[in-house]
Amino acid sequence: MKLFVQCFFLLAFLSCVQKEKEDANDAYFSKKTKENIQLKLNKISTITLENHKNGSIGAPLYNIEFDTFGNMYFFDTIESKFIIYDSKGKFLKTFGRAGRGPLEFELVYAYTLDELNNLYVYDDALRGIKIVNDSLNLTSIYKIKNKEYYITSHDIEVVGKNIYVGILGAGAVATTDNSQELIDSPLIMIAEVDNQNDELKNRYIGTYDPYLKHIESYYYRPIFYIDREKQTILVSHQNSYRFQEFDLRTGSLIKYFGFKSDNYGEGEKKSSKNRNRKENYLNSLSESNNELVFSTDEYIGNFYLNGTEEWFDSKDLSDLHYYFSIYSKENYTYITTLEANHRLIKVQNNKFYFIEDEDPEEFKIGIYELIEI
Amino acid sequence: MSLSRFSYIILSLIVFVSCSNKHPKEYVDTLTELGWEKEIPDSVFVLFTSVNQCSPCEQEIEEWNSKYANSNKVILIVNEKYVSNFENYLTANSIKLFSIQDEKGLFRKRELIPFLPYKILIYDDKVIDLGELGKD
Repeated sequence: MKLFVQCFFLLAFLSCVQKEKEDANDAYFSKKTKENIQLKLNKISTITLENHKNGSIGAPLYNIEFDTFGNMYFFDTIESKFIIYDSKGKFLKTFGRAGRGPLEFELVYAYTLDELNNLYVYDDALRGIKIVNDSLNLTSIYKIKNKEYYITSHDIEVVGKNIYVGILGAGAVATTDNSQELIDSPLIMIAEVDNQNDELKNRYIGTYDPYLKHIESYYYRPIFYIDREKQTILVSHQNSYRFQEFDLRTGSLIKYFGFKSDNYGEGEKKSSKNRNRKENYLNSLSESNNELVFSTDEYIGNFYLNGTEEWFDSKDLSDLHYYFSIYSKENYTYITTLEANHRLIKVQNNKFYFIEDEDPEEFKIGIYELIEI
Repeated sequence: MSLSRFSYIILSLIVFVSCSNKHPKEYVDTLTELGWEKEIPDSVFVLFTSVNQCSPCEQEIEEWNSKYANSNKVILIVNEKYVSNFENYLTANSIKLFSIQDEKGLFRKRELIPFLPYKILIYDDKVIDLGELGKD
């Protein structure tokens, strides 16, 4: 009996400690909801890309990057090359091929352009970032030599001489559950280019969202957006509705917020890695997948998709369900969640770029704006 | 006829795998529905992939491609909606295997394969699952 009483108090104590830890994680979490605003996506125009029968864009690297002239850069994962169109969809040029040479690419995770139109490409096969200038000459390759982290995000941004990528600490990769290693993992790496030594000097911003400890998933990759004007970085994760916003200069946490809308699903049960892919996929259907985090002059938010069983067989974009959660940029209040008909691939200068048709013969990009009604 | 080391590896794999409960006719019928016109031999390896697969799978397809180019012993089925992507995939990877596009993912929809990339052997009126392409 005495032992029973001791065990009871010990369990009660441990339970309180755990609750306290969870509360501490949520101490700065803001969940203000519903400003009295109604929003909708208003179509501005459609760009149809010229069919030059010389490449394939779209799956699986759904991305578009713009240079300072408004030219659009796509990466063709079939032929491992970049395809460039002007702002009206006229084919301009293509460069690159499969391999590990100067203008060769193998496993491109992410790419972006800086204000001088240098192209930065993270190739995971090389664990390196290639920089190609606007004359299409390779100017640098920065290899990531340390083994402390892995680059996991499909976002890469360049501000001044700093390259920002999402990472996952090596300790967290080795674990099999949602352990402390995961939420202690550094979140964003800032690689400062040192031209003299061709090396990257690394610093980190933030750690993983502690809320991830409650989510059963294999995919926690960071997704981020840099607001150059506000000098902040807004970060979420592939399977979380929550955001952390950091000061770009100091790295300090400014805001931790989010609102789980009805359409947003979280992983309920981690499936065995031994199951086949279809079983794994079906087990993960309850999870929403964040595709990108965005910011406009007035709003911030995330774009996410919900999978369907049909999509696993068809791989047709129209078999997925797409949503936006939108918050006020001024006070982080959740405003609404909108359903979209198409897949969003970029938000820039207050414009939302959707793939309206991914047929390579007639690839269409719809441009929309978010307006109040 | 001497078998290459690669063929030995493939055949030894067969020892460790079980026969599928599917019948070869279901595969042949689906191939015919996709427009396959060549004769299908009694014994044939069938590889299933899509245009975007990871490197281990691509490497294995390269090996099959180098050994069985223009041979009716191997059929490559590419799950891809668009013809131009399918054609670019074949060109970019110099694929000389007998290949066909599975525009609607019929093999998966009919659960003839569990996922992509995958491989089977049709042999002696049986279908033998060989598992994921690119995995030993």
